Amino acid sequence: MIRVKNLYHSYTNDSNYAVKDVSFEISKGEIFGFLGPSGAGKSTTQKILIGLLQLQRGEVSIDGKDIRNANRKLFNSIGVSFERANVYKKLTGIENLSFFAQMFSVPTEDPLKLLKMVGLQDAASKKASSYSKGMLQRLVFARSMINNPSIWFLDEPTSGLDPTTTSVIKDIIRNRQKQGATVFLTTHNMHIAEELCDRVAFITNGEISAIDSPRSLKLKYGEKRVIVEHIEAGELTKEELSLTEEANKERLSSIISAGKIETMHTQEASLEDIFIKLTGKELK
Amino acid sequence: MRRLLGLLSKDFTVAYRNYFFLIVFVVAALLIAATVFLVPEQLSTGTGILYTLDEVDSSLAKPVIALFEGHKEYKRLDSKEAIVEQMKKNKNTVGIVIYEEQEQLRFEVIMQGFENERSKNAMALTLESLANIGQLQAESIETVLLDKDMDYGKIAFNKSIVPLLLLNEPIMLGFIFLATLIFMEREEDTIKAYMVTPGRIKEYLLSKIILMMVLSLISTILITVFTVGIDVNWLMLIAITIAGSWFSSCMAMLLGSFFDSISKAMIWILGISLVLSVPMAAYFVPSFSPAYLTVIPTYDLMFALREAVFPGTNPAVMYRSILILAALGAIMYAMSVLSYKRSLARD
Ligand SMILES: Nc1ncnc2c1ncn2[C@@H]1O[C@H](COP(=O)(O)OP(=O)(O)OP(=O)(O)O)[C@@H](O)[C@H]1O
Ligand SMILES: [Mg+2]
Repeated sequence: MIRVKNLYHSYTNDSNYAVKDVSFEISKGEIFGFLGPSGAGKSTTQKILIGLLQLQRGEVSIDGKDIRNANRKLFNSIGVSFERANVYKKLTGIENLSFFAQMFSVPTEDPLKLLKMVGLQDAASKKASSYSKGMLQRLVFARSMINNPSIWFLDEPTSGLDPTTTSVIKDIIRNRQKQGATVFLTTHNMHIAEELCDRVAFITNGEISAIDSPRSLKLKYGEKRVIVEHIEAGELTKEELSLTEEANKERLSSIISAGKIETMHTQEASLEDIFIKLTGKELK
Repeated sequence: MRRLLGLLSKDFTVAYRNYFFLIVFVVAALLIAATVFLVPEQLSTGTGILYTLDEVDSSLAKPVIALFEGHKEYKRLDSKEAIVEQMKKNKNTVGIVIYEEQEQLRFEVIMQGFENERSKNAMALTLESLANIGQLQAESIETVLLDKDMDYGKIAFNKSIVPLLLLNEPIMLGFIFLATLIFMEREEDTIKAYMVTPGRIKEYLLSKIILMMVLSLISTILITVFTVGIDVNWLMLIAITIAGSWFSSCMAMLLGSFFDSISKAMIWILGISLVLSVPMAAYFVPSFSPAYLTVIPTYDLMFALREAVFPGTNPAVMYRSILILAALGAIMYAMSVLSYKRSLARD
């Protein structure tokens, strides 16, 4: 569905790349997560894919068509939710959606239905200038669905939303996937990525360091650990031990044979731990 | 087409909510009121001119005196003081003191203080030629003096300024409105959302230009109907207004594409609209037509508007003006489309 090969982009037109040798493929119906800290090049990549930034070097094809010579009609099947809430502030929620509905030459969704989905029905006829940050973000998200896109680009769709709204948004994304949409999801929220994405790519400093499903990443890089609380020399001690390192494994056997264990938990590495391990960077 | 209608409905709604229509109505009403009530209908014609010679070599002043004596409105007095005295009694007079400096005639003009631009201009022009009287033929001076009876002398003065209003309104308002709209949308970043629809830049820009044309037409029609009346060449007036609005909004578009904030663009917007209004200086003095004025497209536009409002002597200027404005507008429109594409790819 989406193929990106050896993509480079420099805002300064020199060798100072914001995106460096990025390659990935997204198949139809997949939710692909693009994860990285601030300034990693996520939005830059998305902007190139949707044609807002010129393709400088590399290859990008959507639905088998090279985007260099893509027709504007291609946008009929693309939906984009921006990280910045770029809506017409002087128009109401419903007017914003109706306006964009008219820009497409395919059947569009009912604006009010979309607003209901994201819980904006009460604010539907209020001007967007009176919306809060979270409401604006939901409006942009709702707008990205107006043309029933089969390819959906979501840049930080849940940043700054409360947990309830976040889970509403997650459900909508899952539902649309069931209906066959392909999703490119940019985020630095590991939990969202872990729950939603079929595959994720880790990106830092414009470069991809790993692409795989969250599960296999964990299997591959996640160290299984155990936390044991036991009595030793009459005192309660707590130890964290790896299940892969020899020394740790021996220590664990000896604790078990001593037979004075109070509690014992296995600890699974989170996607975040793996990100830090692979990239040496925090996801902030 | 559906897309353009969508864009138009959006732009008209936004313009309405920004009070653009209200502003056009109010400004038109103010201009109409000022034209009808404040500007005098008649300039004081047949003004008497009092002059005196202040130690002038008689041979140098001879041609001037000869000329003045041939006109009954000119009256010679003994001194500047006498002129001032006389002027206080008769408000319908202007004084001239003729003196000499470096063997050149100089003129000091004493005015009442309420004279309008038109008569000041006429006076200045007359005296300018008198100063060079030695080199001039007597006949050409006559022409200058008689130039007061211009072709449009029959039109009431307050009505005769209407074409200037029609010229100025759409340009100034158009520039300011368009800049407001463009930078508001740039601030909102909404053009990016538009760019990921099948919509094109040219439609996006065209919609705003059409909005400006409609605003200009409203303003033009209101001002014309309530000052001059309905007896004008409507077809031409509307065509010229559309052409003028097309030209000025394309120019504002192009200008707007180079800047990322209204404050950076403002100095250019003001500067250029100032340049565009410079030709107005020539309105009452058609004989004042240096090339640097006539090449400004608003020069022709101004006389084209006058021709449409007061059908008369020079219909060709209307067609010429429409063609030139349409062509210049088209060039700037094409440049704006390119420039917008480039500026979008930039950030
Ligand atoms: N318009 C621009 N001009 C110049 N440099 C830019 C521009 N936009 C982004 N950059 C630079 O490119 C790099 C990648 O930015 P990008 O916006 O793609 O990051 P991101 O991963 O989306 O970050 P965030 O999580 O904060 O949204 C950053 O170093 C940023 O400073
Ligand atoms: Mg970003």
